[in-house]
Amino acid sequence: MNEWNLIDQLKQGNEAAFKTIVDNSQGLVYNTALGIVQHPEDAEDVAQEVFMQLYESIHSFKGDSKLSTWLYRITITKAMDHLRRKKRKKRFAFVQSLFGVNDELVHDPPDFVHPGIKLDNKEKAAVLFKALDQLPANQKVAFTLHRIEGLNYQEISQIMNATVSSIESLLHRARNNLKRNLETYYSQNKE
Amino acid sequence: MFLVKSSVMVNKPFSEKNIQEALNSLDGIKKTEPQPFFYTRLQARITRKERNIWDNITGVIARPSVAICSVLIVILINMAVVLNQTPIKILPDQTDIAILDEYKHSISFYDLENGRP
Repeated sequence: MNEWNLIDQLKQGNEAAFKTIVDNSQGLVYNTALGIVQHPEDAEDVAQEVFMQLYESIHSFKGDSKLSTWLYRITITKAMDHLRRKKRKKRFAFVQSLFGVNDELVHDPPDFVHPGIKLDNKEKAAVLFKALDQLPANQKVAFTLHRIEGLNYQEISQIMNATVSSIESLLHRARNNLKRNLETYYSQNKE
Repeated sequence: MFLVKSSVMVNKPFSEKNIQEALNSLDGIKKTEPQPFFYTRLQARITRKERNIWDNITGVIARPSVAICSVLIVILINMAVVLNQTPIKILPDQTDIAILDEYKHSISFYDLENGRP
């Protein structure tokens, strides 16, 4: 069954079609979410939200782009929302702790190690993910789609609704900023 | 001065090497999948979400930001009403004057009852 048939069937409320779509695209959604939120449980949470959104708003899908492009867009939006929510919660908990309302300490999460990284590179990758987390949102998204999802500039431009040249410059800036962040990290943590 | 310069010159290539290694650490990254039975967990969540709509409405109303904003809006409306109120001059209209006149000239039931002996 091709993509359009599946979408048509899902629009008619066919649960089997929904299951097939989820089975086919759960990796794409989860992997992208994991690259952005950098936490396995949070990525699972985001992935579930993405498919719930798909289930609820499949009728608004006009078919102007591929289903995967649409799923990438939903994933990016949900993942960024998740990060914003988490940041807000952390800030609120900090304020509460100042007033003694919440005595729990707010811990920074441990270094994120992507499960798909080669064993030899894990330590270096953890540093890179820390630097990646400090990038502006659109640079972080473009870098994640390119280096973690392995998408080319053309595909990223479709997902991010931008021209190929703007994606190129976005990735160039992302790389420069990453270098700067890494330089700062290594100068502060000399071995 | 020479010592400082040389230490920078020695450290720079070292950190450059680290940076390059960190940037290249994503080479050959494998795509990950969620834990098994993802669809089952997703279904459970969808079922949980299809709960009473009132839970959602009360959830929104109970948010501190919404509650505080609502109270502020009510206070502002009240203040606006009070400040825009013009003092009302109470002048008896024609009907009231007529009634008063009539009352003045009328003899009440009590007047008849308590008439002079």
